[in-house]
Amino acid sequence: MTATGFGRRRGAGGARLAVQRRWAGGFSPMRRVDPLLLLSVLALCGFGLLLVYSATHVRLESVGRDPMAYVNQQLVSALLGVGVAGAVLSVDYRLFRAWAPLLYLATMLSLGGVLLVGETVRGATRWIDVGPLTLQPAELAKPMLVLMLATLFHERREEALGLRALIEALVIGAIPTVLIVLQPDLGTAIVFVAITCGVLLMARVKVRYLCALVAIGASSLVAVFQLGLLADYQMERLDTFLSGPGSQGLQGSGYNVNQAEIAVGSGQLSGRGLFEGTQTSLSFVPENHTDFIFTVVGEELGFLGAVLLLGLYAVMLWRSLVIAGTARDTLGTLIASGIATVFAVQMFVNVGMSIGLMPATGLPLPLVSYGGTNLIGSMLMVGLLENVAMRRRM
Amino acid sequence: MRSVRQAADRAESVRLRLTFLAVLLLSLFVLLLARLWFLQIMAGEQFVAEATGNAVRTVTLDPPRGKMVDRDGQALVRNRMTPVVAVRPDEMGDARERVYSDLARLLDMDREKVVERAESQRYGPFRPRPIATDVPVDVVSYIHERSATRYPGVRVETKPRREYPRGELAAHALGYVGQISSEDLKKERYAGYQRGAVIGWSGLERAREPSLRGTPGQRRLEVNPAGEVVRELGRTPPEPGSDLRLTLDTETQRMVEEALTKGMQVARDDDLPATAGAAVVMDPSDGSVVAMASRPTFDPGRFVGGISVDGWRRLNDSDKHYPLINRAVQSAQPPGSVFKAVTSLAALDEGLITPTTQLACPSVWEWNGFHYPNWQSRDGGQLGLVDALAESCNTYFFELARRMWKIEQSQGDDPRQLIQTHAHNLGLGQLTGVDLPSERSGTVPGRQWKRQYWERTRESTCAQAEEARARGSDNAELLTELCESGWRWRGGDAVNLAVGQGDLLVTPLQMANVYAAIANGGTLPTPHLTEAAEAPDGEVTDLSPEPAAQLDYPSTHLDAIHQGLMAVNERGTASAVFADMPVRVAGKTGTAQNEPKENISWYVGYAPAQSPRYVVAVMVAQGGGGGQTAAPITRRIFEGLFDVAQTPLGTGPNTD
Repeated sequence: MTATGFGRRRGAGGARLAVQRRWAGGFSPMRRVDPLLLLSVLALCGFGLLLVYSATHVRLESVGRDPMAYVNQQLVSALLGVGVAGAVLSVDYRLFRAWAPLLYLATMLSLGGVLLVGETVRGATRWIDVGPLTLQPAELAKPMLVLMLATLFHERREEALGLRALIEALVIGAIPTVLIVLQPDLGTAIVFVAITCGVLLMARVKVRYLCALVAIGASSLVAVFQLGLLADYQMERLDTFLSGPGSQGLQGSGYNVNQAEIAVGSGQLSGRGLFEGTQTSLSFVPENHTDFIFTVVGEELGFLGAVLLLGLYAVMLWRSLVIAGTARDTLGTLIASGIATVFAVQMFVNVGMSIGLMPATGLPLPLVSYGGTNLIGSMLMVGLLENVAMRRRM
Repeated sequence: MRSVRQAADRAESVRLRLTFLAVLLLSLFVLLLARLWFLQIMAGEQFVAEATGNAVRTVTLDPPRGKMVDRDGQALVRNRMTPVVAVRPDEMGDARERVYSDLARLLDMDREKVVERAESQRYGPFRPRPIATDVPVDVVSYIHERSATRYPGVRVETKPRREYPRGELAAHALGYVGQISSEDLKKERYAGYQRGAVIGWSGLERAREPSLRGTPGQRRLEVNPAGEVVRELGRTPPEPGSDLRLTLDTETQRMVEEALTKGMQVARDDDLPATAGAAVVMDPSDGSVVAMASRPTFDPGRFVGGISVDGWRRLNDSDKHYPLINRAVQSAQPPGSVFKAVTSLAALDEGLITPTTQLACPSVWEWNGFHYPNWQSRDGGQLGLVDALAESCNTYFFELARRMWKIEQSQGDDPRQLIQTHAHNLGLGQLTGVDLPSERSGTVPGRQWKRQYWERTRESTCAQAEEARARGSDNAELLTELCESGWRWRGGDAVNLAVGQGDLLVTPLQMANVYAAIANGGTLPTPHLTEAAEAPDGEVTDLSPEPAAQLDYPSTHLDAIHQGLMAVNERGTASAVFADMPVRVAGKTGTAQNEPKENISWYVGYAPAQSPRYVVAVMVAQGGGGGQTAAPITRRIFEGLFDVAQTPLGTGPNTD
């Protein structure tokens, strides 16, 4: 038995070794990290630290605080994020499938919890205090929704996708969207809609279903406006956006957008120089370390700086799509493309509102804006991307 | 095999859908880049301007105004540093109303006054508006201690404040300062001035504004959206104005003002109205004005920091005879017989007479059926020029007027007019160019002037004539003639001009200048009150002007007039006034008719007669005859100038 077994093992040794080697190749993941993705992400984080410093140091100094205070905080968050990403990619992403429903459920509960016990800042309830930390469950809900939808469609990968799967996916996507609209946080809700759409697109749902969905989406948008379901301030922002920033005067709700455009526009080709932007350092643009951080690039580094920043995002998204295309399985493809959608939409909405292309919403610029939960949540998603990359097909 | 194909299908489908997603994302980038291109490259410049306008404020720093000292260096106008409470309402926030109330109580002012000054629109933004000056020290420290808490937006600044240490002395010559008016702000002269700037409003303060003002400095400040100053971007310190050394002499000025005031008071005691007057003392060699007085007067110090509406009204009241007018230069009056010096010079120079030519001096002189009386009812007999001047014989000069008029008439419609030509040579009918604002040029009437006047007034004259005819008034004939042929330069006009009456208008300074030219042998000076300007860096600029003209009158002509002017005080119209005067004075009285008001009293003279050091011109409106009021004042002034014993100041005899 032993001999036979030994001998058999030996006899089958060649093929087995080959198989083992193949599997081992699949499971020597550290060698297969996507380096460009990693580099672009780290570059964006570094860029972010610089911009946060530029946006905050004058204000901090003027009140006698350490000009590095925000930067240090952000650095801590970034390191935490790297830790989280490391933790995420040390476990094979396929194992997350089993936890996906549980994680999803927990996230939905915390989103609901925010509405009940959350902290209200400027009319929106988005934050929840956990000891010394203030968490935004919505940031964690993004990867969880991606994971949940990816799992759902992965389970049905062998089936012809019918209406039932579609409706399930829509319900799963709708729950967090509705909870976030209730906060109310329209900007983040758009991201959840985008995640759902992105995953549906990549999950090989029939094109006619997708078309129907687009049609229904469009008509319900119209209905939202017609029935006045939006809060006053949301309507005001949209109105500002549609009528152009100049029309509102400097004190109206057009102020932020107008000042942001002045900041970005005044940068011209090469910018006014790092730390030299008056719009930025003198706080003419509010929230310029968080939602309007793009104005700092635009003003101080000009068109060239903006192209550099957008280029980093382009590299990152390109690598994400490549990872999606080469993923070992449907789960990996859907996770990667879902996360790519999150980054792309957030980036577009955020930059777009700083330059008058989108209405003002409270969306951070991923990896760059000041804010711990956002950065950690983004790093978590980067961890997932690398996780898929590391375990991709040869 | 089936599963392999399925897998291939799947891969195909995924690739297709990934491509679709990639294109979608790419289009987002294209959108962003296109918009950025528009904002930053195409419209960037405009946004740069907006960003700069947002963040940079320029604040003007006022330079300290230059001082004025008299010819011996005694201060006439200077600056005194004084605490000023000023406010910036935009820095007060919600506390504004409370701060106004507190300030009113603290400064012991009406609350409305505080609000009015604080909310004044005369200042640009970012400039503190002064509320009160000369604030007591304890109030200053009280505000200092509490400015952060109780008095936001309130500050105490030490600012230079204009000070006139000698009060009303030389008020008209020195002038006063005030905030720039919105009309002045538009003038080219005040380009670069800002709202709230203090400028000279009259006198030397206005005329020498460019020297006195200095160069304003600037602070370029970076401000945040709340308008709070974040940091200073740059500072150009203001350059103080130049100090002026004047030709005025403080002691002489005081003495002249006292003489004028006293002389007018004496005239009033004698039932003459003597409503206004002027006196000028000038050095005939260079036209430098040693003293210049005008009555009634005012206190220039009252304008510092803004004069009250009530105070302003009082200074512009006709019942008070407009104290702000500098009658030495801003009021033109007929000069009466003082002008005979000009007529004499014309007659000599045109060869009508020689100094010894004898002409009759009847008590009444007749021409074309009109009778023109002398001021004296007795016949003066045959007179030479010296005696004609001494006696101020009108009829002698009427005869000269007739001869000149006839010469002119023989030359047709546009002749060379003799008296006018010489009056013009001597600077009449034009500005002397003295460094004082709003100088009047006066009028030397002639044929052209009369035609223009007639054209200007024809309509109303003819309407009056019409009305008078309808009423059957006595004036009808005269008015009708004026309407039809009032353009004509008649014999009566020539007669009036020859003795300085009628439409001839001169300022006392002009007359002083004419006599200066006679005294110095034919140089018409440019009168001036500023000798030099000293810049803050010590550089001195000579400001004494060149003479206005070098007249080429033969010395025999000038000497004949000089003899006549001396005779006036020895045996003529002013002999009683100048009796026993230790210094020999040459001069001429003048009595200008100004109906229905009392005559204007004039005296212009110079001394010592042989080597004149001073020309003095005195004019007293409604002061009666020249010998009555103006001559005694002039004597008092010469007594002061040469430091000789004063004789009692009373009214003299009523001579021409």
